[in-house]
Amino acid sequence: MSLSMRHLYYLFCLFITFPLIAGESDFVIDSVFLEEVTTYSSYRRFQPGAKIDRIPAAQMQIAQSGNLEEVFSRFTPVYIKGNAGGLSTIRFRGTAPDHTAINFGGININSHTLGHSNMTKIPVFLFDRIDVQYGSSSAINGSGAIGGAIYLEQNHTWTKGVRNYRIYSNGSYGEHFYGEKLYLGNGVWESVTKFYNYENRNRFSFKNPYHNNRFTDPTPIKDRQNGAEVHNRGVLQQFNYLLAPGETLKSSFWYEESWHQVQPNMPSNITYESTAELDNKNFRSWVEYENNSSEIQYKAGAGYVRDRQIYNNINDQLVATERLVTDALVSYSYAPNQELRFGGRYKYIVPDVHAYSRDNIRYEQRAHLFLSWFYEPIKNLKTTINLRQPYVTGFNAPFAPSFMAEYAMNTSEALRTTFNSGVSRSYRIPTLNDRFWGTQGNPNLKSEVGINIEGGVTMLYQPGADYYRLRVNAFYMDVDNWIEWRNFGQWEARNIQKVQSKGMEIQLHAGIEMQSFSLEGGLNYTYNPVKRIKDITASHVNDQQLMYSPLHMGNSFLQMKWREFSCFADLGYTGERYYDNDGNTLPSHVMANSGLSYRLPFNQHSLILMAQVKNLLNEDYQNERYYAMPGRTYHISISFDLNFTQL
Amino acid sequence: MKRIANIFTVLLAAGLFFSACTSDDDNKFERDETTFGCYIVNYGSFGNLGASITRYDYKADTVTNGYFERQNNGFELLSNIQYANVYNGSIYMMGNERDEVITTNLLFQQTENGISEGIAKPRFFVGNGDYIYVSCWGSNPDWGDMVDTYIAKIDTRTNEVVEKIDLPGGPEGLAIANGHLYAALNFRKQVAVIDLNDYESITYIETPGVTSYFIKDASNNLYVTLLSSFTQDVEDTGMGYINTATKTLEEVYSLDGISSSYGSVISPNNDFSTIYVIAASWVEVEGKWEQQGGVFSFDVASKSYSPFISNLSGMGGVMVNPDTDEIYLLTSSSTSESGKLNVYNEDGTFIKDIQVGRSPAWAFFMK
Repeated sequence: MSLSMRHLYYLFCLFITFPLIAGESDFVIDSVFLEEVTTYSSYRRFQPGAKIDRIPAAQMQIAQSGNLEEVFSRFTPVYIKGNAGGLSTIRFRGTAPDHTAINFGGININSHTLGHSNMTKIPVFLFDRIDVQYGSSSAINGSGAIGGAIYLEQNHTWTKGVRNYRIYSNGSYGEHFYGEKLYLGNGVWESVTKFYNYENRNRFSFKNPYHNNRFTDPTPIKDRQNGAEVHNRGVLQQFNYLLAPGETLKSSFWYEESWHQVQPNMPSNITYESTAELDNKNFRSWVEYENNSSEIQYKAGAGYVRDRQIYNNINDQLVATERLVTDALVSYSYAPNQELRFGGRYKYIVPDVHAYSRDNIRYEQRAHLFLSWFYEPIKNLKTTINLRQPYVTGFNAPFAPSFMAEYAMNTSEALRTTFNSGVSRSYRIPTLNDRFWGTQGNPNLKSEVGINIEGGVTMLYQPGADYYRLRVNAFYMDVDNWIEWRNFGQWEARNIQKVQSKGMEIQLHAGIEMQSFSLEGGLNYTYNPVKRIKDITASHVNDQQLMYSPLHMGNSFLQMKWREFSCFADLGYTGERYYDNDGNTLPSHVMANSGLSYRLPFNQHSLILMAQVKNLLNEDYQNERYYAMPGRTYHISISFDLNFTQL
Repeated sequence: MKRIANIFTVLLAAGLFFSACTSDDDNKFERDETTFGCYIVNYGSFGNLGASITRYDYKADTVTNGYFERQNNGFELLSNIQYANVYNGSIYMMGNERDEVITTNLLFQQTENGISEGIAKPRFFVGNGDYIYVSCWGSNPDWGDMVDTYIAKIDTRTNEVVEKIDLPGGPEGLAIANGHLYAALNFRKQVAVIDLNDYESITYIETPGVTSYFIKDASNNLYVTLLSSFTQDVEDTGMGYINTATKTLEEVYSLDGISSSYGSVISPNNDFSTIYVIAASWVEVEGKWEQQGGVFSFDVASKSYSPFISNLSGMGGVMVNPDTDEIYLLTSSSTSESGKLNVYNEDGTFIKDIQVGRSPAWAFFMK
């Protein structure tokens, strides 16, 4: 595409996507309010001032055959560092990957050895909703919820009858996805089975400037990526039982196998012969009993998790952990405007890691006590105090309180203005690797601790069926005792530095309906300076932005629907990022994607055809220095929704 | 007409002059003031490149970071440089990820592709006649027994691998003495001894620790570093003394915490009266025991160690300047920022530090 064409496209996208993305549609906004009534113990209820967004259903549909990496990089202003499908890590508000909690049921699925999750290994298809919390939430989510939290959620619709959903998707360069969901139930019990298989040979072409003839002709050559194959598959089984109105027993069992080759960098791709492989197997389960039928509500859950990773088919290189998790909580609404919740959690962790000495760790126990108080002193002013005290065997874990408030006022009949604010303390207990890896683990590490302060205003204008929402949020966060591995004679983890992150997030979101035509779109922008303000090596404190943390990020999304046709486009801007601490940067880039879909309804059933072009502008970019990313790719999918349920 | 002929003559002479310069530069085999200096090999960050060469002209006290790029029209190194040195008028750099042996002239000008055929994870090299021997870890090391590791023999006249000598155990440092190639095995408590006249004749010297690098004294005998290991039960660490006439380990000079880094962790001074080794020690800081790096000096006559530099973090290598006897310490606390060359005199007095590239680990000198 010529430069002028590209500029025209930018203008077109900016024009059509002016009111853009990341919040919920007005349908979702309503549904969120409903959920607050029915889900008394939800993370929303006790965090009224927090910034929690839901990935809209339309975007979930667009990214059905993708993973969290795709959803976040396309639809949120959160930076993902990664290569072309093998490994990607999330960085909320300039924090590290292990500063994000990823919750599934009552489990934070992050690895206890590494501290974080690979975002390409979490498929969108297995979840009905994905909520995204910006900022600290350790008082609710425990260790690691410093920069943000992700909630992988299921709908519980108490199916009556049978419903089957399947999707086939094919993309360029050998990408195939097949997924199936089967709902069975009689309105009292329900079985939901979801499974998927994803394969990507990833043989995309790219411009490689690091070729063999560069001494005589430095022009980049057209190269094809080697050694970046990905194969993920998984199954999620739920059994749910509605014991009585307000009394439920729910269970989820998630087994995941993910394998990928370690993608060679661009110079190595030229001389490629072979590469290493990573094979992960994860089993996560959660069973939960919940009783909301009286003013004293209670919930108890238990889970078992096994994470296992083998490097390059070498069984001696095993990295595995098992954990048992239980929790229980009681909530008491002792007045119409007040609610008290308290509970506890216990975790028993057994590592099996080739580099740990059994003399140093055989198991670890963690316990948490927490207390939350919801108080609405005047109408539309919601406040909460959350307190959490963790205990870890042989380790001092910090106390994590938070205070949050939200005040909503109806400025006019159609305009509602909401002010939110919050202050919270967060923490992260060092990973098992940080403390016990070989002779380099450091059992003397302290927890990372952070303070998060934020405030904002949301204006929701709803004239008739349309809506317009503007949200502006400012935040300040610091993280002290930040852990990093450095060379102290040998490589070792230590509490190295203090990092300060601050900034502003602006969201504009709108939905317009005109008879059979509807338009929905949004715009996100984030300004986020994040810097080291203290370091055990004084010379490391400088004015440079932290590595792989863009100062500016933004994206936009637009979806237009006419009857059963839909077309959509999204555009994302990622600002310049430092890839080392010597001032070298990756250039900014713009990614554009667009597509069409058509839904063919038949009674309660439907067939959906979708075609997408990703990286429409064929942008040559990198998210990690020296690792190639695919150019323009084409994707088509067909999905069937066979619905034999009673409404 | 005469004027035109004069101009033509001048142009022709100028053309010859410049083309001659180019030719000389491209085939720079001789050392002179343009090649003089200490060359610091900055490893970079594994998988993320960032390797570089720093030239330090210690006579003129000038430092040139990014020297390779400067000498090659801005082209960066496309591998992490595990080790580099000069041999027979060329510089050889062991490149990892991408795996190749990069050859340049003495001005670090690269004019042809690196040697990649038959080279997988090259570690170190040593020269003998028209050949260099390169220790390699193979494409997919198992990080346990290291069964696929080998020595590649490269003909420096053709820059081709002409022989592959299978040598399991992860050969790292190499030395040649008395017609034999000695290979320090980094995953075994052994040193391999290969007869240069019969590569199938390999014998092993048992050692109390796994081994990494050698230095050779005036009698052609070797000191080898003995390290602790994740995978092996180690009886002792420190330095071992190998008599190359008898091919036996004669002495072990124990020292705890000797560095397992891949870099110049052992270096003799010019008259071989002192050997400097990098080793970490536990130090009490504010009531807590922390591991801190340091350099120990080993008195060859008395066979005893004494602390030389203490309380330094991030040490990657130690070298001795052959002209000045100054001790150069290469330090780098992380792989994402510049390292330092710290200069000390013989009594351990700090003189100055110089900013170099990322993760400096080796240095060599051209006089």
